[in-house]
Amino acid sequence: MAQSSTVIFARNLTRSLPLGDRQIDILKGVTLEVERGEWLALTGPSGSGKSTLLGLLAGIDTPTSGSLIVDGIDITRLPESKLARVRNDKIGIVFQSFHLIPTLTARENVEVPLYVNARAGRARQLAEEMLTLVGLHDRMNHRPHQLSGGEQQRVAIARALINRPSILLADEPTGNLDTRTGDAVLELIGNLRRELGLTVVMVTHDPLIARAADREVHLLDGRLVDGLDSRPASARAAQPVLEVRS
Amino acid sequence: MKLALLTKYALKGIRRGGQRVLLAVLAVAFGVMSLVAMAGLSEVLFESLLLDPRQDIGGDARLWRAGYLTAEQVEQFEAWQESGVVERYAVYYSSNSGPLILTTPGSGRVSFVRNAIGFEAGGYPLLGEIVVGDPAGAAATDLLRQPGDVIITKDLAEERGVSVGDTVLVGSEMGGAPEPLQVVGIATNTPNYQGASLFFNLETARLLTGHSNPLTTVNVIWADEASGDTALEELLSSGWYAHTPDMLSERNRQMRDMMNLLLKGAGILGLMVGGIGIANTMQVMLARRREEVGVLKTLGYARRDILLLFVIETAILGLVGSVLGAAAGVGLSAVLVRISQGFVTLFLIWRPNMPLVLGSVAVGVITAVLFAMNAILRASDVRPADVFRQLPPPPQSQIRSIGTFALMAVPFGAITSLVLGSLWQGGVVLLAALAGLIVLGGLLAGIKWLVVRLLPTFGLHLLRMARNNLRRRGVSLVFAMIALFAGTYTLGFAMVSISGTQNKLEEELFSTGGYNFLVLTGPEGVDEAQAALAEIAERTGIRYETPVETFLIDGEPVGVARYLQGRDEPWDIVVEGAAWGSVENGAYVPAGMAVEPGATIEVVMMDGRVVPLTVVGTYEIPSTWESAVIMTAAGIVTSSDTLLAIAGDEVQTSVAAEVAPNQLEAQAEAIGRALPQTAIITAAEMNDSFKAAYQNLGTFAITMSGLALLAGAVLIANAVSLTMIERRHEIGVMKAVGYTRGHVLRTVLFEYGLVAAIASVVGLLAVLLTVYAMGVVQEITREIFLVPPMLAGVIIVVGVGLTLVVALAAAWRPTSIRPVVVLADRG
Repeated sequence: MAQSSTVIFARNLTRSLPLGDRQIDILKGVTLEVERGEWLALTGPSGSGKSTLLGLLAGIDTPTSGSLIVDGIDITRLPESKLARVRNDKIGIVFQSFHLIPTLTARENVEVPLYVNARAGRARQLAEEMLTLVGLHDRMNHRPHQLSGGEQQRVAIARALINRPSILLADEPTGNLDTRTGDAVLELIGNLRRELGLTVVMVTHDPLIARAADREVHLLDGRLVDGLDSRPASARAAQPVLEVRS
Repeated sequence: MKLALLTKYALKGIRRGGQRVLLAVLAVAFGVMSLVAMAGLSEVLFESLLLDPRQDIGGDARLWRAGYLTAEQVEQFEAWQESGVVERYAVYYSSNSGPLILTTPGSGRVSFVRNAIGFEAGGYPLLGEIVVGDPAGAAATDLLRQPGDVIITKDLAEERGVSVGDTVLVGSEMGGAPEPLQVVGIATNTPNYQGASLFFNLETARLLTGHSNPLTTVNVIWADEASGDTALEELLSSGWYAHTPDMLSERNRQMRDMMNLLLKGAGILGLMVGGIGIANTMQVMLARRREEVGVLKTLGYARRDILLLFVIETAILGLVGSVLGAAAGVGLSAVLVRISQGFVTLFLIWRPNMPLVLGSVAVGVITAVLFAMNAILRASDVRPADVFRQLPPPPQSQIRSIGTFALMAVPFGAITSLVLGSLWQGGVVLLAALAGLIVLGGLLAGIKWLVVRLLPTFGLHLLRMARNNLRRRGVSLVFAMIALFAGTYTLGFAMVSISGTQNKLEEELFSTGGYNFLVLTGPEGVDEAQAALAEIAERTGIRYETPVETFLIDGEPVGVARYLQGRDEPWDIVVEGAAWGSVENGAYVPAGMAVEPGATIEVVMMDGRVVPLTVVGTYEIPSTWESAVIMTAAGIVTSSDTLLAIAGDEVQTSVAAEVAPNQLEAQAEAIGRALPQTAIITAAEMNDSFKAAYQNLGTFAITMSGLALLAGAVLIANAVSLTMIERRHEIGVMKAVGYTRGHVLRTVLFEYGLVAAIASVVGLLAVLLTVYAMGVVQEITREIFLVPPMLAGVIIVVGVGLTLVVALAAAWRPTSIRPVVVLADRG
């Protein structure tokens, strides 16, 4: 069966959160398409809703309204157990704070996603291969507190990709790293994207990082900003004139 | 496969869990230890104290008469056996009616024998057995071959330091030279679990009693109930007395229910304490793993996977804690049985009860999971998005928590019912515990709230901080306060009981004044005994005595004690009438007895002879009479010459003396060495024996209270440790701005000192209330159970002191954390 060229299709997504007795609208009707294999940068100031949008795309949060299709699966109202399966199979996520499990070694952290569907018969081997791929062959048995920030992020990337998902979501992956280390991590992501055919959606507030991506969409106060083309590259290529979005 | 992988993950988490894991394991271990120890003790006591009534009695009935049995009386049972009324019977000698003493030659100290049984091979016992421990496995009847052979129970052997092959002296407390017997065996158990017992053959019984046919008792197993009832009725109407199982059954049932509830109930309460400890610990442990849960869910773990993971983790913690607790409980139950043995004369046979141990381990695991379930459910509900947004966890729904606990109460109720072996008892214990938790919890939380509001800080900043910290503390602290209250209450009540009983005991003890030294010897040893005592005693007196069948006046039995006593001179009685020894065969009757001087009183001897004596006067006990070792005169009194002429070898003699009370023990040893074939009883020894039982009971009470206090200490350690974990960041910040470890520790001590003071004062008030209530119900207790200020102070000091020590120990390491470590965590 041929894969759709659009791997993420979000339509009119909204997300509201309670604050005291009020509802705060974090996202206000976001429509977004991401093509397979594309690297999309999601930018915007603090509080614009970037991380919230990423959380929706990752399936770890549920939209208040709208619809969201990920790799052909409508995850908008999917039950939690099925959503978990989608997260395990199709999505890898990397965080600014790495979020490694401190009691496990690097290898064990990378193995964790494999236990869900009991694909752990070769867990050790697969984890070692992935860690080698990210350049941490010699640090497999170290626990997070024994690794540098860059190394921890590499472990997190390895963990995110161990199940060979089609989508990698990254929330400010270089935010806690120095420039040089951050560049190395970005280069790694770029290499893995090419090798594994990943679609990458990366939240960043760094314009330099955003320019490295294939496309940038900008969020402001929960909306995609006018003036920046949120359509995938193929659509832009077909119709180069920007439409003003309301 | 997935289960194995989740187990592997859980094990990794446990291995690296550090202090929190230890807390959880200790909490479960305490609970299971309590359960195994209490249930183990209960089972041992059941087995010994609440023997099957038939075995306790020795058959369907135990029968006896006044005096020894005649051949005709025994033949009746043989006839019944032939006719099918009796299935089996055993006739034997039993000393139940007369106190015996046992001593070793030259020791000067005695042991009091509860039971001495003389029997023929194949006769006794009908039910149960005499278990001979030394020589191991020997049969009692094989050992008791010769006249003079005796098997003694282990407690007597240990008390007197006797081994197989040693000679012991056994005699009557009433007097007479004790008989030397050779120990041929030491029994580790008896048919009715009674200790302080001797077993010998009928030949030996003849030696001891001086009676040619010393059979006194018959145990019977009826062929069927109906004929047994008929036979029993016939026996009872012809001068026999009987004990039957029915008389014991109801009493045993009530004792069993009470013991079951008290001991096993205490074990279950200990288990609940452990459960509360693990509930608190898991609450904090899992709260700190919100981020981990968020990550796991992000990686594709479903809620049920998280639930399963934490259930496995808790079950493993529960298993480790339960195994440790079970091992400790086995040891503790052995100690408790040993202590209990000190105040009962029964054999308490302790042996590890594997089904109980294994069952308790299972109960411990299940309890751990049940009590942790609220925390597990809460952890599994974590929403990844909330975690990554660093939003605080939503407030816990009270209704949901209550609902969870209520649901978990059902299986826990099943557990308590299983342990207690009774649905209603299980329900009672559980409801009582829950009601106690709610009422006490509410009371203590309310008092804490009030104290925290009203407490002046005296300008002490650290005290203000402590007060503010207490305001924030929730349920875990209240549980700790409840446990501490329970500990101080039980300790306080035990101390009040022991103190009061001790005071009463001092009043009830035998006086060591007056005739306080008694040498039991035969007529031939009297002169030697008197000569030895003359050097150390202020005064001495000799009593001669023989038991008789009865006394008759005009053919009618006379209502006096069946003893004919003799004196050289009336040293312990005041006589009225003829001068002492002036009338041959003259007898003195108790004053007030309606007999004219000159009347003939016939003495029917045990061998059937009838000897006439002439009443020549009366006697009465002097108002100044004081003696712990020799009873007041009884029966009919005559001159020693007359008695010796009548009774000859059957006379029992004793020489009483008044010795300086502080010399009793030393002189007993000295006289014992000088007169090795005698037995010596002193007032001091009788008091020591009396006090020992109470002291052991006191030790038992204090041990139990100690366990309750330990429960409080466990929960305090749990609460402090969890607080330190929760406040880790706060402590780091405090140190970063200039507070020292000492400041932090002082704050902790203020906090927990306050908490302990509240719990201890409330515990003391509860003791006072209990004592008051007892005084209302039983007036006599008002004089016994008192709470002097000093004792009240001790109760408070113990409660507060223990808490401060535990809190300090628990907070010591966490307060050493470096600020940079903590602040980097939050970077």
